[in-house]
Amino acid sequence: MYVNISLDGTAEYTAQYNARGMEGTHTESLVSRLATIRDRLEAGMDRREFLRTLVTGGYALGVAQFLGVDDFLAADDGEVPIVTALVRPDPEDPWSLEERTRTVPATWYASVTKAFELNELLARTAFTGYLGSAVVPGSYERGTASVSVGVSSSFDSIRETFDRLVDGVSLDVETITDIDEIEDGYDGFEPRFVDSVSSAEIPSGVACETPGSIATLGPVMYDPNTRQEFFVTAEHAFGAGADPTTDRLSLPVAGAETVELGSVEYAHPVEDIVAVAPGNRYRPSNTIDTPTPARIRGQFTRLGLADLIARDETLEKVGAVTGHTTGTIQGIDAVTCFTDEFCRRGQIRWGGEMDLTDGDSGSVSYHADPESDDRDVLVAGFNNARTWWPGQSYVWGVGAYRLTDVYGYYF
Amino acid sequence: MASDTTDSSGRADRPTTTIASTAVRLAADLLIVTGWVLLLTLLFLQQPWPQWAFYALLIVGIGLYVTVTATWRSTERSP
Repeated sequence: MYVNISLDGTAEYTAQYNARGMEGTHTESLVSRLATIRDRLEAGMDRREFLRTLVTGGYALGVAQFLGVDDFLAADDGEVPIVTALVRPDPEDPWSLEERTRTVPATWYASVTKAFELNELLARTAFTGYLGSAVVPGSYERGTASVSVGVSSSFDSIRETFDRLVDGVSLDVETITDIDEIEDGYDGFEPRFVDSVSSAEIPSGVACETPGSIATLGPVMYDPNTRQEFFVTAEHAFGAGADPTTDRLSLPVAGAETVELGSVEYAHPVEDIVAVAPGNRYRPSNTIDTPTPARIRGQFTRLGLADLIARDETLEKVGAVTGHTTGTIQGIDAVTCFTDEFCRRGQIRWGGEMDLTDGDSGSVSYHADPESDDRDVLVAGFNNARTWWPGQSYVWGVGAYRLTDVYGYYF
Repeated sequence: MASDTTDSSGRADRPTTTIASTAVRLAADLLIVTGWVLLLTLLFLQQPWPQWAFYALLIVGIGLYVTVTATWRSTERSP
């Protein structure tokens, strides 16, 4: 953006504004509008303040164009196709994947993609006091989307300024005062152990054991690059951090000896997952241990999760301690910066604090696949932590789409 | 994104102000305006309001901001 304003002695002015797109027309109308305003305010506003209005106004329009507000403000009424999920057409062939699409209103699509962009911009800027943010798509009828921003409680003054600015209008600026740490202990709860290991395939949703703790075993995770299948669970269950050379994952069996599943192949502390290469005896499975067993056919994309929120659908999970629970999705593409030195990206927030407890980490959240058999489900993401503070209570963990984007893994 | 402003200096009606304080004020203006644009954008994302309302609020907000801060400054100037 380039703004050039020259002012001559008789207070006549010309304004030039060179930028791409439709900024020129906006600026011309702005200039004529401001000229009128200036005539009217001749008595009240001196030339310096007028110049200031012009400069800041031009700058503001530039920022608005930079953020691309017209992308969603001027979106047409048509429909656009989106990819909602990656699904295996042949459930027996893990390396077959196809995209599932759906047509959605263009206004909704424009708002949601813009919200993703703004969320990314906020996370990259990471202004002082920023603790995280999430995208909450609205319904298809409204065609809107919210960005929920968390700010540190020591920045109450910023919040008050915002509140005064938008008096009477609610904006999702959350002040975070209390944070539940991720805890590793499992006292007082009885985790669900697998009944027997007569089958070589171990289902997801049962307890697994790390050298220092207990977590929930996830379903089979595929790495298409090396054509490997992995057991997965939460990285933080390994306490000081999983070590790929020495750490092992084992499986406690009800009324029998604990068996070994395999050794840690990759540890990803930021996404909070470990990929465990299966040993000789046991293999990971794509089934989830529910009363009516669920079979995983694939996973949701980021827009697929947005579609679930727009249609007010819920997510389910099976944890080793709390078992099967269901909850509404509270936000996607979330950034959380309040538990560690770094920020975690691509998180899903759903359910409430009651849906997860110590020992449930490593379980996956999923939703029924509408186009397949009754028992087929698609994975949304991992469940790794819970958070509570006034006005917000949810389970969070990395989205499956994020793992695919960063490492190529999929379910 | 670069913003380049050319201000004619040494005008008769302008009281002597240091370049530094002008620069600080300009920086503060631009920071606050950036916040205002971002706030409006997030607000309009979650509301199905029309495009003209966005630009109207944007300009009116800046006009109000300049007017209000201008009165503060004139009070500062008069001892």
